[in-house]
Amino acid sequence: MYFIPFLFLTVVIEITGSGWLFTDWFSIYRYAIYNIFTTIEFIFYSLVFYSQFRKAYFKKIVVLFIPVFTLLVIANLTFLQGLNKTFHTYTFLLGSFFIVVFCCCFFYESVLPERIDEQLSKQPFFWISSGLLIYYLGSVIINALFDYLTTNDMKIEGVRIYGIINNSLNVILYTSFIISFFLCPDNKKISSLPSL
Amino acid sequence: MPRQQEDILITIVVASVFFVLLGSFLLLIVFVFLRRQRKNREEKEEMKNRFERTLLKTQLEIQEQAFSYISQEIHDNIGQILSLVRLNLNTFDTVVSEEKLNQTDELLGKAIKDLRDLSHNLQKNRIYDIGIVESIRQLLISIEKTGQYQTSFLASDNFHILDPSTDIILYRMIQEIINNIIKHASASTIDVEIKNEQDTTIIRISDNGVGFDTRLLQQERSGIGLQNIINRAKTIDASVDVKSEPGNGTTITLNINPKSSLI
Repeated sequence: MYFIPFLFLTVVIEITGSGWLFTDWFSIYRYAIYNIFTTIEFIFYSLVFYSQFRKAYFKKIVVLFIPVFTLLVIANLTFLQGLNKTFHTYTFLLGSFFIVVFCCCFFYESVLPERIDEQLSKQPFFWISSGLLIYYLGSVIINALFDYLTTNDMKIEGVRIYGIINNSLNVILYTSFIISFFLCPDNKKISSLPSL
Repeated sequence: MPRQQEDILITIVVASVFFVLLGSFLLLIVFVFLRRQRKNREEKEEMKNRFERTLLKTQLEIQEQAFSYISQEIHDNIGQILSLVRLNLNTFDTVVSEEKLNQTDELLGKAIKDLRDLSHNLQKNRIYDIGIVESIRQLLISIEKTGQYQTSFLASDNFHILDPSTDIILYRMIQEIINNIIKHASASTIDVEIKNEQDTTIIRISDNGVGFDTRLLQQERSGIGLQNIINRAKTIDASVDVKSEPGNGTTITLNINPKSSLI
């Protein structure tokens, strides 16, 4: 239900980031926008996982993670990396780590005997989790070395490689999101209804 | 760009690809694991279905055997006695000698006793009610009654009862082994032993008959009776061990795991 507005926000941020909109304004607040957006992104994904988990202790992990992560991001942006100075790599890595953990928790739940009858590849959330897992695992290195890649004297090649890897992973991520939307039962229902 | 920095960039790319592959591998493991789990469950269900089919078949066979026994008893025993009674009655004059009357009365008494025995026997033949040990004992008694075989039965004190469904299949296996002895072994003694060794129940049936070369059995895959026994053994997670030599009798050992998770 909230995925479409979230994806719409993502599209706006990415278009702005690409320099198609608000170019001057974005160049000033680029880091601040990405730092805030990626934090919202982590919280959003965590809430999606919360809604999908069936085990109470996995839900508890998410419930604990969201406030702790938010506080850590605020602390990081206030005292360490700054809101608009650079990308919040420390907390981004922490967030990535937890998203990967949530993905593993989801896969663990999927292989439990009580869910053995459910066809995994036909579940929309399986594709979302797979996309997130691949994206956050693949982007760990480039995000950990973000400062190194963008501020060193190999800046041009570094940024290029960052862009290539990040864009490739985005293709995987959003392709898996598209597959999950196609598999979403609500969409099928809606498409079969006569137009109101 | 210096060589060292180029290497660093290559390392970054390789490491990122490695992590992506790691994620893909994890997904693959999940899929393989799920598939295996599903297959295992299907196999288990198939085994359960096979077990139920065997159980049903066995129950029908036992029932058939019981009907055949009743029919034989009625025809060969009670029928004959009643025919004799009728013959006697036909020879009765207006004055009947006491001796003839007593003889007819005796015959009728025997017929009534045999009928009672038959009914009693049938009632006792329910394996579910009397258990496997008592069922085997009854079986051996009925064999000994023919006067052609000497039997012995040894049940250890610590023998623990298997579940009733396994009992029925096991009983049918023993019945089939004994039928084989009667048909082919030309034996005069049949010994049955039933005991527990740790978690396993062991049933040993031996005879002093002509025996056979067990290699022939493996080569020809003949002996439908024995093949039936082996098939039944599989459904209750039991193993069948055949020891035999020409002229030295045969010993068949059934090893059954009572804590079978089949059912």
